[in-house]
Parts: sequence; structure tokens; C-alpha cells
Amino acid sequence: MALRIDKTDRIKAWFLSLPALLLYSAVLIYPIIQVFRMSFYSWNGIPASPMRFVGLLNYKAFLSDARFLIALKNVGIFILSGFLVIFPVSLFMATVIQKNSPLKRVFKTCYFIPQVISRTAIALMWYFVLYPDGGPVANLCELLGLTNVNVNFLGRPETAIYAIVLINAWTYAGYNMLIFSAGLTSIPQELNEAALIDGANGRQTFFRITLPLLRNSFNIFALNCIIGSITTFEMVFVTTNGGPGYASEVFGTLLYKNAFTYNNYGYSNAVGAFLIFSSFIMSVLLTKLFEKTKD
Amino acid sequence: MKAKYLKKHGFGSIFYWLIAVLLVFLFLYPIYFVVVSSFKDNNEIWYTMFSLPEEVEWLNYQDAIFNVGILRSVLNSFLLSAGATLVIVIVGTMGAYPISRHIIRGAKQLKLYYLIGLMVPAYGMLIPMVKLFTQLGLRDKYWPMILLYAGINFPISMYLIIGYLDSVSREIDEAALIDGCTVPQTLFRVIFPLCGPGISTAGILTFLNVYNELVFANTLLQRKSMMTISVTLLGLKGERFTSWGVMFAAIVLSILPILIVYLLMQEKIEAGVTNGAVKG
Repeated sequence: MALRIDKTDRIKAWFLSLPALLLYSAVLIYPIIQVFRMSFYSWNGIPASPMRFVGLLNYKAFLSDARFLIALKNVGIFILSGFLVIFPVSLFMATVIQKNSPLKRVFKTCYFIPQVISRTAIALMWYFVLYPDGGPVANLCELLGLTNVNVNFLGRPETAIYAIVLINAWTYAGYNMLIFSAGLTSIPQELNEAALIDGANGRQTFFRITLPLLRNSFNIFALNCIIGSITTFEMVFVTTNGGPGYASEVFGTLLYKNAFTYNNYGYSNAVGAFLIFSSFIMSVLLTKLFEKTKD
Repeated sequence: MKAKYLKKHGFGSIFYWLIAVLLVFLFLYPIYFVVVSSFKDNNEIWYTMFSLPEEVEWLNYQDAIFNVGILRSVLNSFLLSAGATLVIVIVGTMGAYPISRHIIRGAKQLKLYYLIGLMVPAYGMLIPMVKLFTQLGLRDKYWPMILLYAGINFPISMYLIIGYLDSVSREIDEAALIDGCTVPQTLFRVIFPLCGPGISTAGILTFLNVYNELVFANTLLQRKSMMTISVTLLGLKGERFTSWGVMFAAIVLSILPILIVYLLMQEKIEAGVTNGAVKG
């Protein structure tokens, strides 16, 4: 398979690889090694002040922190919302944009739009749409006569994380729609036609034929959803920054705040190392698992 | 006509399209609200849902441009995105070619090494990166940021470009080599022009990611003249406003350029995002 080339060309080929190798190693691999190294040190973030070796203390502090459990629970809510909200909605939208309706292009564009808007802008938009003092949603609740509902959805510890996962669902539904749409395209049309001729109705064809054949798309969705949930950050950071109190904390906000608010950089690196390690392990495990179920 | 349609498709179909349209509304509403509010003065924004401004308030845009400096931030975001995309396209293709053609020893291992980056969240290394930037005095400068962003987007781009190169027939390379081209000449003159689709996917994803990036920009860019849109918008959120409209105008101005780019090259961007997503 390899191209046959002579020795000088082999050397030239290495020179071609060099910038890529350097860029990747310097910008990603070196700092990742540093995260693991620095996670064993205590440091206040001032470059001149020394780092103090503390062994596993940062990990102990992080894993025994009440906020760790809150973050873990919130990541669980993120994953659950992915399967319960994003999955059905994006699959539904995928079927809509697959239909040969005259408005196909309009549907696709509208569903896809959040993908090109920055997460910060999206978070801010929703922050204002959910604004408790006269924002549109608060207004809607009042119009519907829901006067006993506390409309401060992002500002109350009981509802903050749910408001955020719904904003997150709004953001990523269009992205996953494309994954399922690609899956739908790859299903041969004859299969559906055959089923219809055999007397199945549209709904039966969808649930018995189409859905099982979307296995690979579902695997991609599931992988993205789980890893994305573990590493989620920006949406929470911009809307609530983990608050009120610690109610909507995720691992990303713990990493950020411990460094830049509490000057506890060692702790942050332990969170960083945990994030890198867990998403790496999860990616490998899930990919292995999905390979087995692949058809 | 109506009755006939109902008979053929049933109420289920109407329900189906009703939800489809409702979703369109749901995706457009926040954008509508922000755009409409950006033309209003303080008294008109809250306690409404759909109402249009009584009088168009251009002052908000004037403030967003001259006081907030949002256009500067848009320019910064564009410069960083374009820079990182350029680096990725050149460095990525150069790095991907020897791997795809197995013309260096350890091509397989090198590919695996690159793919590690696909499985880790870049912001996990935030602290060492901030330390590095501070120690070397790299904050608030374009080139370090461009290289950082290129590095962050390197693994996915590499994956996409290698994938595309693999689909380009090796016979083309062989013909070029027999004709006396060196390896770099073969890559740049013969293969590179054939890889448009693969490279543009990587480029589009990189551009979008960098344009919308927040975490690294927020920690590494502190001078106002260097801030990107995400940083500037986030900074506005913390301020106490005498006029809310400015905030909305700033949001509109920051998402408008990328929306226009999207509307101009819809198919390409959607294909890019799909290819990037279906990497599993």
C-alpha cells in the first residue's frame, strides 16, 4: 500500500510531518502532561511563587468535596436530558428534513441555526429570554395564569440545572439532527417500500425498520452526548457560573472557579486531570462497546 | 381539498407538521427577541413577547459600536479564526499526507498519537496553558492565540484530512512521482488541489470553533483591543446597564457576520459539521 519512494524523499516526508508533530505536541500533549504533573502540587497561580509538592492531596480535596457530588449529579442530568430530550427531538427533526416538502430548506436552516451561533451568545440570549423581571418566558407564565410559579428559573437552586440542560438541548438538537439525517440517508429506500407493500403503515415502518437501522447514528449520538456532558462548561459558566450556591456546578466550573476565583490552582489541575482521564477512558470504552454492537 | 388531505394522511400527519413548525418557532424565537429588543429603549424591552419597537432606537447600535467596541471584537474573532484555519489547512495537510501514504516509518503510531487529542477536552489543560502564556509573555497577542487554536482543532482536522486523503487514489501520486516530482511537489501541486472537500471540512469546523471559543480567550486575552466576541459579550453581562438595548445590539452584531456566512454557504457548512460529527 505504501508508496515506493527513495531515501531523500523519505527525509522530505519527515520534514512535511514536522510542523504538525511540533504543533500538536507543544500545544496539546505537553500541557496535558503538565496538568497531571501540576495536579500533585499546590500553587497559588503567581508565576514567581513556588509550587509545593502535596502528593494526592488535591485529588483528596476534590473527590471528597461536596461540590464533586453535585457536579457528578448535574452531569448525570445532562446525560439524561440528552437521551430524553435531544435524542427524540433531533430524530424527529431529522425525519422532517428528510421529507420532500417544499419547505425542506427552511426547516433545515432554522433547525441548524444554533450551530453557528457562539455558545456565549446563546447562553446570553436565553439568559434574557428567561429573565425573571418581565422576560418573555416570565411574561408567558403570567399570561397563562401561572401566577404561583416562581419564574426565576436560572436563579433558583431547584430549577437552575434543568433550565440549563434545556438551553443545552436547544443548542445541540440541530447538530444531532444532522447525525440522524445522515443515518436516514444511508437506509435503502427499497426497505421502507417493501415494508409498506407488505402492509405496514408509516409508523410501523419507522419503529420496526428505520429505527433499528439507525444503530450507528445512535452510537455516535450517545458517544458525543456522554463525553459532551462530562466536559460541559460554557453554557453553565455564562448562565449561572455554577450557582445559585453550588446548585448548577459542573466539572468545568469547578476547574475554572478554583483557579481564578479561589486561587487554588492545584485543585483545578486535579479537576483537569480528572476531566482528561475520564473522557479519554469513556471514549475508549464506549467506542469498544459500540464496535461490538455495530452492524 | 382539506377533507381529502385529512382522509389520506390522517390527523397524525397534521400533528406531525404542527410540531415541526412549532420547533421552527422555538429555534427562531430567542433570535427574534434579541433582534427586536436591540431596537428598543429600556421601557419597551420587558413585559412583552412579540411587540415591535414603537420607534427604532439606533442609539443602541451606536453605543455597541463606539462604547462597547463590538466591531473590534468581531474583527479579532475573525482574525484568530482565519489564522487558525490557515495554519490547520497547511500544517494539517502536510502532516496528514505522509501518514495517509505510509511514506514515513511509524505512520500508524503517529496517527494513533494524533487521535488521542480527539478524546480529551482541550480546556482540561487550561491552567498549564495560562501559566505558559504568562511566563513567556504571550498574552494579548495574535500569533500565540492562533497557534493555540490551531493546536486545539488539530486532532479533528487531522482525522478529517487523513480520511479524505485515504480516498484519493494512490495512482495519482505514483504517476506524479514517476514524472519526476519530489514528495513535497506531489503533495502541493497534485494532491492538495484534489483535496478541497476534505480540507474545507476541516477548515470550516476550525473556523466555527475558533470564532465561537470562550474559555481560552476569556483567560488569555485581557486587553480590550484584543478581546473576541465571546469575551466582550461575557463582560457585558456583568455590567449594570442603564440601557439594555446596547447588550442586545452587541449580541446581534456579533452573530450577524457568521449568520451571513452560513446563509451564503449553507450546504458546505452543514456538510462540514456532519462530517465532523460522524467521526465515531
